[in-house]
Amino acid sequence: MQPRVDEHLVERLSSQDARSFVRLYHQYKHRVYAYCYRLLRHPQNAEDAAQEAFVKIHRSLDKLESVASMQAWIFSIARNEAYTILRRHRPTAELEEETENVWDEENPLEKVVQKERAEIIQYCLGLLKPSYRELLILREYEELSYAEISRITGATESAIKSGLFKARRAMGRKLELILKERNEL
Amino acid sequence: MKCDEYQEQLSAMIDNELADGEVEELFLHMGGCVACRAALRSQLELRSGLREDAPLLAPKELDEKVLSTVSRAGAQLDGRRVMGRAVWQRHVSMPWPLAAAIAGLFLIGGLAVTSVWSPFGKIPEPQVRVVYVTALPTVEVNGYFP
Repeated sequence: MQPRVDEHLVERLSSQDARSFVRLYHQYKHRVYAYCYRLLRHPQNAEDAAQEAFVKIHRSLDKLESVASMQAWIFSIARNEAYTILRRHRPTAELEEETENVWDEENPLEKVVQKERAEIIQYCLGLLKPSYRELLILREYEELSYAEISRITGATESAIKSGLFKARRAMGRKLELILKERNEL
Repeated sequence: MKCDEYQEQLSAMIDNELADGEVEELFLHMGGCVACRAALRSQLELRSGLREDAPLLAPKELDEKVLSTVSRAGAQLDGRRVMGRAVWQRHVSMPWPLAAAIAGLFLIGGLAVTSVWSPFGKIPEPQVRVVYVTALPTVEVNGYFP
């Protein structure tokens, strides 16, 4: 999904024009909500995170520097809100942990054997640790480049490259395992 | 380079993040490596599976929550901004008929006030003094009149 850049919108936003904010909100609301939902895996939490994100975006419109940075700026604010909610439910150390183990938790396979392939993939995505999950979300759904993901997450491009590879490899293996189990049942 | 490293390159390749030379090298390797070809297939299947997911739409309630919160916050902010300014720096906007009516009222009110009250106290009535001249002064002229 490519950003629709509107230079006039950015100019008016910087001058705290209320109607411009409404335009920005409608332009980004589905993407921000979807990003929060896929990261948090919970509709109410995603709604809360998106709401807080837009309120903060409105409050700090004067900090918006340029058209080029608008998308990354919006997603980085949404990311902060989503992580604030995640931290409320999980220990901080777990989020910061950088290990080869990319799985957040193991759930019984029986829960998913009846689901379709896409649903199984979503299920697997939900099992990933948030730091890996968000890379896949930003790359596969938002179609952002490594440079843009780097601006949002603060990670280096090589860390993003490596993280995406690990997430994909783990997802591929898990998917294969689930589908194999499913066929055996 | 090991297969693990090639597969990391593969992941970057499907993201269009590899230079042409790197892509060439990768394809050369994949030509002779079954595991890496399988990895490419797996990564592409995963991508298509992820993208098959129906688009997620923000719930309608979010509109109301965000826009009403922002509207309240904006009104408070505007209020603080206006109250923080000196009177002569504040901006007031209103429809022009209302502005014209207010200006008219000010004009009429001003005229009415100045007609009954003056900041310099009561304006004195003009006084007329009648002077009766009973005698004209005598003017003596000395000189030559042809």
